[in-house]
Amino acid sequence: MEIQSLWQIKWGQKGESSTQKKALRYLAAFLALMVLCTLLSGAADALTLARIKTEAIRPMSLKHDTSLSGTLSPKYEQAVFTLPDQKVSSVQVKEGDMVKEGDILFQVDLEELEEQLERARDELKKAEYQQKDTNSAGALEAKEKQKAEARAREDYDHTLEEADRKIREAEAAWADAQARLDIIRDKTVTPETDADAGQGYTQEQKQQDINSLEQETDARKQDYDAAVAEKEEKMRNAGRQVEDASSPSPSNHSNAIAELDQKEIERRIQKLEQLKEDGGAVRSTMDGVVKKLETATGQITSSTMAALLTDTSNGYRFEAAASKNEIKYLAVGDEVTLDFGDQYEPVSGLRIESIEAAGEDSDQSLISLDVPPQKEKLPSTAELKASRTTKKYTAVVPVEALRVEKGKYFLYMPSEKESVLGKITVVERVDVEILDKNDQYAAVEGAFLESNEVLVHSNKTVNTGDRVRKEES
Amino acid sequence: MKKVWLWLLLCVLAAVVCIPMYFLIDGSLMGKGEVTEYLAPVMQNKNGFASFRLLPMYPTLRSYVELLLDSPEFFVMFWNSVKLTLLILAGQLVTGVPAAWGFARLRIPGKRMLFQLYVILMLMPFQVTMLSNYLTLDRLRLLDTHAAIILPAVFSTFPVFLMYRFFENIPESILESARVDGAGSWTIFRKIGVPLGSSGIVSAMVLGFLEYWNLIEQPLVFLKDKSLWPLSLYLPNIGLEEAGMAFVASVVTLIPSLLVFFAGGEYLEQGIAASAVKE
Repeated sequence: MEIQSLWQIKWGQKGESSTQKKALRYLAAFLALMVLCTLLSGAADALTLARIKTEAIRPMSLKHDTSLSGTLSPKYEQAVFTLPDQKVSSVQVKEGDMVKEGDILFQVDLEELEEQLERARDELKKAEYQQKDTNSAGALEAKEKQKAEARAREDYDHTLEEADRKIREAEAAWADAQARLDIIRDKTVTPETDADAGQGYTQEQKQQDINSLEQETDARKQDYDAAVAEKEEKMRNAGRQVEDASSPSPSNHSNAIAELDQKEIERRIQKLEQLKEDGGAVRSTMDGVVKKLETATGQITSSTMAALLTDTSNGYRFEAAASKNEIKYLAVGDEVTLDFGDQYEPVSGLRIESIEAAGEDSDQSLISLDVPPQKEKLPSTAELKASRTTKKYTAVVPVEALRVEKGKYFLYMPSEKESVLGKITVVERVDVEILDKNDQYAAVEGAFLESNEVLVHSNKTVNTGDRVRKEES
Repeated sequence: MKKVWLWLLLCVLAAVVCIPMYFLIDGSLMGKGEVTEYLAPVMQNKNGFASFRLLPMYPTLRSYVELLLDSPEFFVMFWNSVKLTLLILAGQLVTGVPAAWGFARLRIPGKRMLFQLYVILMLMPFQVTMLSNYLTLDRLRLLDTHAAIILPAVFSTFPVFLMYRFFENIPESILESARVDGAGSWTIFRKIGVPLGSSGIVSAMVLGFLEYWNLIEQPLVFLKDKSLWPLSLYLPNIGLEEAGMAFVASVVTLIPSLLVFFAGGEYLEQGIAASAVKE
């Protein structure tokens, strides 16, 4: 019985146990479906996966190319003057013409010139005459002065003599009075008797005599003093008069001035004569180009320049105006090249001479440099090209890799991650600071990932954390 | 009358058991918004209770499409599961069946003690042996490979135990008569033992499939590389936004188990019945 029950257990034969067979069939179908879905989902994933191109972050120095347009002007300029007040009869050149030394620039009217010459000559004569008159007047004046001085001296001497004499006289008179006084003082007094009345010399008489003599003496003394004082005053006056008479006269260079004036007139005459000899032609003083012509036919020449000649044999000056931004990478002393387009050879090896603020506008600057003379004449506009290489930056990425959001710069860097699908590449956002930038590359600073590569190009938009596939380059 | 009541009671109990599966299929046909709405209280720690409808308000196959056509990760894990399960079952066939035959039919000294050891090991939960397993695998440099799962499972004791029961039930007389006919041990094993014990083998395979298809602990501990994970580990990776996908993933994971059970369930029944008959 056991065996029977055991033998009943058999494999399901074909046709029986439909549930089992169905289940097995369904299982097989299920697995087939799973295979199909695996393939489909793989395909879909591959399609939706962004394919990216990366470039390594590497140390590099950046090159900054600057290009500015500016003007070229010949360095050497010379003005041509002519005599003023000439009438221009014809002009032989126009602005921009090349002239050689001696070429006629314009011609002045000869008649006018002749008249001016006459006038000048007359002026000269007038001046000469004037000088002569002035000279003689001067001589006369000098003589008069001499005379006055001699007379003043004479008067002085005479006054001195007179005064001395008066003093002497007064002194003598005084001395005399004093002497008499002394005599009387010394005279003995004889007492008066009745008999000799009127013959003796009494004290009263003596006293009287003394008094009167004293008075006299005093008077004589006063006279003497007065005489001295008078002398003093007289001498002072006389002395002043001499002084006045001999005071120097003011300098008189009128002669010299007149001579100079005459010389000038003579020079003018000479110039006019030269111009006349030349037929009234005003010639160029050097080889060059007529940059400006201030005269025109029929105009009167003035004392300012008649023409401006520029000379290319001394080189050129290049000037360019640029904003602060444009000249960021230029400095005085930098080596630059001037490019003139297809028609002329570029000139290299030039150095920037100065960079200064152009006027009030602090944003604009003027860059100027000297260009040595070249074999051929250079055009008036040129392009300045300069290139500067910065120091080596540790991390430089292509500019296409930079992205910006809300004013902050960042990069996407690939990083390998472990996931269910194995090793996958995911992009992560890395914020960076820009140290320097040119058209192609940017030097950056930031917390870089291990892979040290940046996403340069992706065929779909990516965000941080997205899975990507690196394209084989 | 009694039958009717019994029948009703059994229906109710069966329904209670089946409700989770029903909700699973129900949820897999719901759109993302609907699922989120129902499950938000739980998944997002909000106030209130999670709710569910019997039928979706806006049924959609979107989650199926997303999972089956848009998630390569799911398929990587699916085929990992398939690989693991098939290899383990194959290995168990190769090693377990002879082992069970040996325990049941051959005379080996110390057989009883060894078998007792087997039983004890079978009773130990994974957590107990986890650490020693880990160290052994590390030494053998098998960590982070599929072999770390396959090899221990191949030499697992449970299938041996199951099959041993079935081999034991085979009457000795059949074998003896075979021996008399001149069959060797190997021939007996191959031509008599295996066919007669086939139900046991199949039921061991079915139970093994169900166990290894849903294996979680070993892969979680021994496999670090995500690309080696089996399907059972797909679900823990999903959050609320992908709850719809979680339902679909569960459904897809469920289907093979169902089908295998339907294919081999008969043997299970038969095997259980046979062992009951014996005693």
